[in-house]
Amino acid sequence: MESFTYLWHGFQTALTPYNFGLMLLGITLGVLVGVLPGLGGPNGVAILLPLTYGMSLLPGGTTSAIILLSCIYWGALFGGAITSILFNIPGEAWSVATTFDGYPMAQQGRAGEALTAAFTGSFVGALFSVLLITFLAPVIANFALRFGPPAFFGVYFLTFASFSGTSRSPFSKTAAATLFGFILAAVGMDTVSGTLRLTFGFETMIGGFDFLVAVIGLFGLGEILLSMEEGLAFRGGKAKLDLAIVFKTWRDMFRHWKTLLQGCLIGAWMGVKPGGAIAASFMAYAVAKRTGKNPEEFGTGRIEGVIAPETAAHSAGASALLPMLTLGIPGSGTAAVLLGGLMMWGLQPGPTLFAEQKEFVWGLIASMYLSNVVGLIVVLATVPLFAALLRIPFAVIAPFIIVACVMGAYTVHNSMFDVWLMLIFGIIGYLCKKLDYPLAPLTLALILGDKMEDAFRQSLLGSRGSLLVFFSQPLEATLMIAGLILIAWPLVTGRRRKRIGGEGDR
Amino acid sequence: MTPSHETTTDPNRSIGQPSMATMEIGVAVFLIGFGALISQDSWKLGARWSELRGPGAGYFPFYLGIALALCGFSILIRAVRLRPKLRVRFIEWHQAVPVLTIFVPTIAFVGSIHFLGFYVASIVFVACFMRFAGRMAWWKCLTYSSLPVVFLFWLFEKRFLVPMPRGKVEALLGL
Repeated sequence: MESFTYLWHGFQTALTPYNFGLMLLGITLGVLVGVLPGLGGPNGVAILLPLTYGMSLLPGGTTSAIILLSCIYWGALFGGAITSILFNIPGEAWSVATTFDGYPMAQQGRAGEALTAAFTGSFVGALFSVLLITFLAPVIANFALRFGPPAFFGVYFLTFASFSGTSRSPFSKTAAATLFGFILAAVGMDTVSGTLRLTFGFETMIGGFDFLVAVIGLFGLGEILLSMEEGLAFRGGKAKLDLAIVFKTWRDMFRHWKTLLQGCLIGAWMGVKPGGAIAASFMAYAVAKRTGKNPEEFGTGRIEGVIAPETAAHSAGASALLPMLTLGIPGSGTAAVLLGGLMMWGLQPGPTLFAEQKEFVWGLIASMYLSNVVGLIVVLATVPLFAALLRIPFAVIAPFIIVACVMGAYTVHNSMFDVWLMLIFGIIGYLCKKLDYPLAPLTLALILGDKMEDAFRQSLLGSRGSLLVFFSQPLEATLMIAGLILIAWPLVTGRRRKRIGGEGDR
Repeated sequence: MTPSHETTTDPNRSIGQPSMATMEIGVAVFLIGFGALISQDSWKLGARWSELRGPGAGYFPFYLGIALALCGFSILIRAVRLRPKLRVRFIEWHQAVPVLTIFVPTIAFVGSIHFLGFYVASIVFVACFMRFAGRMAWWKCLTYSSLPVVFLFWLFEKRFLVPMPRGKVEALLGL
C-alpha cells in the first residue's frame, strides 16, 4: 500500500505543467528520432543527455530530466512503426517484424488501420509492463538490497551471457564486441588504485572514454554511413489517419485480445534481458502466426501480424527499465544510455535507488503511465506530419544529423578531441554493422565495465583471490551457472544444427 | 538490416576491392593484436594477485585482452573456413561513393570547426552538402542551412548557455 502513496506523489510530480511540457517535447522528439534514418533511441538520448546536466542541478530536476529522456525513448518506440508500415524501412531493429504485414497492409490502402493497430498495440504492451514494474520493482529492489559484490557480479555476468542467446551474430563476434567494450571502459584512471591504465602515454586518455561519445559515434554516425549506401534517394509518402478508421480499428482489435496478451507476456518476459525487444518482436510474430487460424495468410497484410510484434516490442522496451531501476542493469541499449544519465546526474543506480530516491523513481514510473497515454494521442494526431517529414530529401536531413552528432559529442566535455573520437567510433560502428558485430553488448560493457570490475575485485578481496566465491552461495551459484548455460547453449545447438543442416554457421 | 552477405556470391569479383573475407580476416587479426597489446600493457601494470592489495590494476584487463585475442582467433578460423562463401565484395562501388560523399565532408567539417567555429562551419558544411550531393539551388541551400543553425545558436548560446567553439565571424557580428 505504501507504494501507492508514492505513486500518487509521482503522478503529482509528473503532472506539473513544466514536466508535462517536457513529456510532450520528449515524445515529439522521440518520434522524430525514431522516424529519421540515422537517429535512433540510444543515439537520440545520448545527444540530448549533456543538455540535461544543467537541468538536473535544479531541485527536482533529475526527475524532470529522466521524464524528458524516457519520453524520447517511448517516442522512438512509437516512431519505429511509422516507417516500417509506410515505407517498408524499419526505423529500429525491433520494428523489422512489423514490416512483414504492416507494409502489405499499407500497399492495400490500409495504412491507417495498420498504424492504429501498431500504436494501440504498443500502448497496451507498455501499459502491461509498467503495471508489472509498479508491483514488482519495489519487491525486487528490496530483495537486491541484500546482494553482496559476488551476487552483483553474478547478475552482471548473467546480463552479458544473455546477449549470446538473444543476439543473431555468431557467438565469437558477440563475445569480441563485449570484451572490446570492457577494455574501452578500463582505459584511464583505475577506480581502486588510482593507477593510469592503457593510456599508452596519451594524456587525453586519462579520463577514459565517455560512453556518450561512443554511443553517438557508433549508433549515429555509423548508422548514417550505412544509410548512405542506399544513396540519397529516399522515398516519402502520404498517410491518412482519420478518427473513423481509428475507432473502427479499435473495435476490431478487441477480437484480437489473445494476440495482444501474447505480445504483452512475451515482451515483458524477454524485455528484462538485454536486447530483448528485438527478439521479443520476432518471437511474438512467430507465436501469433503459429496460433492464428490462417497461418498461411501471415505476410499478406494480417492485422495480427502488426499487433503482435509492436505489442511485444513496446512491452519489452518498458520492462527493460525494470532491471535498470532495481539492479542498475539496463535491459536495452537506450536503457543503458538512460542509466549512464543517472550516473551523470549523481544518482547511484542500483537497489538503493528505490530507498533513497523515492521521488525520482516514482516520478519516473508515474510518468511512464502518463507518457504512454500522451504518446498514443500524439502519434495518432501527428502521423501525417511525420510522414510528410520523410519527403524532405535525405541530402537535407543527413548533414543536419551529422551536425547534431558533432554537437552532442562536443557538449559532453566541451572538447574537440571527443568530436574526433566520435568520428573514429563512427567508423567502428559502420564496420561492426557491415561485419555483423553487435553494438548493444559493446555499449553496455562500456557503461557497466567499471562497476562489474569493482564487483569482481571486491569479491576476490573478500575471498582472498579464490574464484570459488562466485559459486559458494546458492544465489551466486545459480546466477553464474545460468549465465554459463546461456553462453554454452548457442554453441551446443549451433553445432548440432550444422551437423543436421550441413551448411551455414548461424 | 544488413543483408545476409554469406549466402550470395559474386562471380565477377574484381581485383583491388576488398572482399568480405579479407575484411573479416583483417578485423580478426586486429582483434588478436589489440588483445595481445592490452594484455602485455596490463601485465606491466601488475596483473597478478598481491597478498597486500588484492588484484592489481591490470588484473581484469589482462584477462580481457587474452579473451579478446582468443575470440579474434576463433573469428579468424571461421572466416578462413567460410572463405568461399565470403567472396562477395565488402562494399560495391555504387555504395562506396555515397558513403564517402558524406564521410569526407564530415572530416573536413570537423577540421574546419577549429578555424571557423562551430556555427559557421555548420552552415558551410550543410549548404555545400545540399548543393553538391543533393544538387539543390544555391538559395535553397543557404536558406535551409543558415536558418536552423541560427536557431541552434539562439537555443544553445542564449537559452541553454552551452558554449560551442566560436570563430571570428561571431565576434565580428558582435554576438
